[in-house]
Amino acid sequence: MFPRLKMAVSKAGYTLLSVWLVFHVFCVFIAPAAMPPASPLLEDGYRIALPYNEALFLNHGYHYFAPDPGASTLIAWSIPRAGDAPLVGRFPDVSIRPRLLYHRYFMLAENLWSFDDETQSEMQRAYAKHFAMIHNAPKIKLSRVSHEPSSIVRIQAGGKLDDPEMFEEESLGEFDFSAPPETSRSSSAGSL
Amino acid sequence: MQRPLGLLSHSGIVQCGLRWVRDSKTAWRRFWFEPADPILLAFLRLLTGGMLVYNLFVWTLDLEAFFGNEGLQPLATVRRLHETRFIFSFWVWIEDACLWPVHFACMAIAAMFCAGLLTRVTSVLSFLITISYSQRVPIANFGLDQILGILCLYLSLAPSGAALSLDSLMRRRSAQRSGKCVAAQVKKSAAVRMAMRLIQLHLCSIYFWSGHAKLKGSTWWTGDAMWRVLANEEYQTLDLTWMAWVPWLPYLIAHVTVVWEVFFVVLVWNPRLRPLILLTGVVMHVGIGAFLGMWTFGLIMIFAYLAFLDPDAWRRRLNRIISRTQQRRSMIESSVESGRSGIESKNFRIP
Repeated sequence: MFPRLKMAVSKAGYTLLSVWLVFHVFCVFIAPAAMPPASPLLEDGYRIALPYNEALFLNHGYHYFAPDPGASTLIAWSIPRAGDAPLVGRFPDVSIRPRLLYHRYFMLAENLWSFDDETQSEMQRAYAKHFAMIHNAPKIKLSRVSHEPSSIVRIQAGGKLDDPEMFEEESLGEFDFSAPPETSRSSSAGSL
Repeated sequence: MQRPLGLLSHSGIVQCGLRWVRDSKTAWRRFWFEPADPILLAFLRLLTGGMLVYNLFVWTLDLEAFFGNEGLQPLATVRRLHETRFIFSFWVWIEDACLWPVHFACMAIAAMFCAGLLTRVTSVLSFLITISYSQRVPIANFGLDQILGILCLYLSLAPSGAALSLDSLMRRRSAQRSGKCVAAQVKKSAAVRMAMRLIQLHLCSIYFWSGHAKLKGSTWWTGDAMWRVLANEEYQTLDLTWMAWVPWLPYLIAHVTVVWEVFFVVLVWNPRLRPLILLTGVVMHVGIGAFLGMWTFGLIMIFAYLAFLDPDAWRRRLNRIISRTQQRRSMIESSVESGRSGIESKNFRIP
């Protein structure tokens, strides 16, 4: 009787494991498949797999440099100084070492724009606060800088990768940390 | 005598179907559960564990800025982002006062996992650590975090500490002490095969969808995409603008990348093509490391290729190296011994 039970349990375990493997592989393939544009069928499959993929940190699109490699994004900050030129900086900054830490800062600037407006606004405030605290300043201005890669034709004509016309700057506002948190953002975003 | 297909009897069709089901079941069992030597998975554990330790070490350099409650990614914002999702991260329960002790404990566990100490426990903990860090700082994530999470997940499912580990060393020592015969061969395991298959299929998914996503963009068709990547000053670590005078080269790299990524899922299963496909991948990832400065991402992808190698062939190679080393050592020892006895006999003859 006992060996039979053992065999039945082992068979049930094998079947369960096989079912899990099918489901797991389905989840692994459906997460990137449902990245937009996607059919309602793929979206439904994605929704079935979503809790599992989120719990195991498998909910990724793997869209490396796709669909088109775009301009890179940097965050510039400027601290006004009375009677002096403002203190300026931007991240990612190539002086950040090691390279992995540089990439973490790069992702802070690059990935932010894929989140909702509320998250973007809270994160911008957090970035501003971080750099204001480092420089012990009550006020700081942030801006988003887009750096478009130079084309082949432009380089052939004598252009450089860091030519000023390849950068586009957009103000994200001024943050005042001497004031209460609700009113700390004194001016809204606008094109410079 | 062969019967035409139209005259195939009903029972013949049923038998044919039953044979197909039986063959499929055998093929399924062989594919997922044929016991495999853990040597390559153990080597993958060493490399992945090393990468995890390095990743955590780099977080140490700016821990409070990234993980502090009021840091670059405030805890309240991350909690709000995760509140409707099935996310696990122990960092959302950690207050600033415990930041450093928890971080150092995580580093210690990752180091134990890398060295193969209490691997069954530390591998699961390392997976939880990996995803907890990544989920706490969602905006600072990139490909490295995704692949590290994937590898730690699969390494925690199998006995990745069965070889090249402190666990196996201690097991051997205790067996020697108790006078038991120490098995020269490491036990093969079905779980090892399953973990290796899962890594293989996951890599296929990553490359296929990565290539598929590139096909949605126009610049991968025009070939400009690779130039745009190489000319991106924030990524590049070496000046590659000389390629503007040999434009066919970035165009060619762009086309080869897309074709290789899309067809990896098919071609890598062909034993003859597998070395070429993997070698192309190694070249591509070394390029990502050398020219785009993402060595961590490039290396972790290359590490994952170990799942495509034959563990038995690598075990044989390893055994050959070990036996050659032992032979050389014994030759040196015997020549030293004979030299010493010669000197001693000379000394004896010359009073």
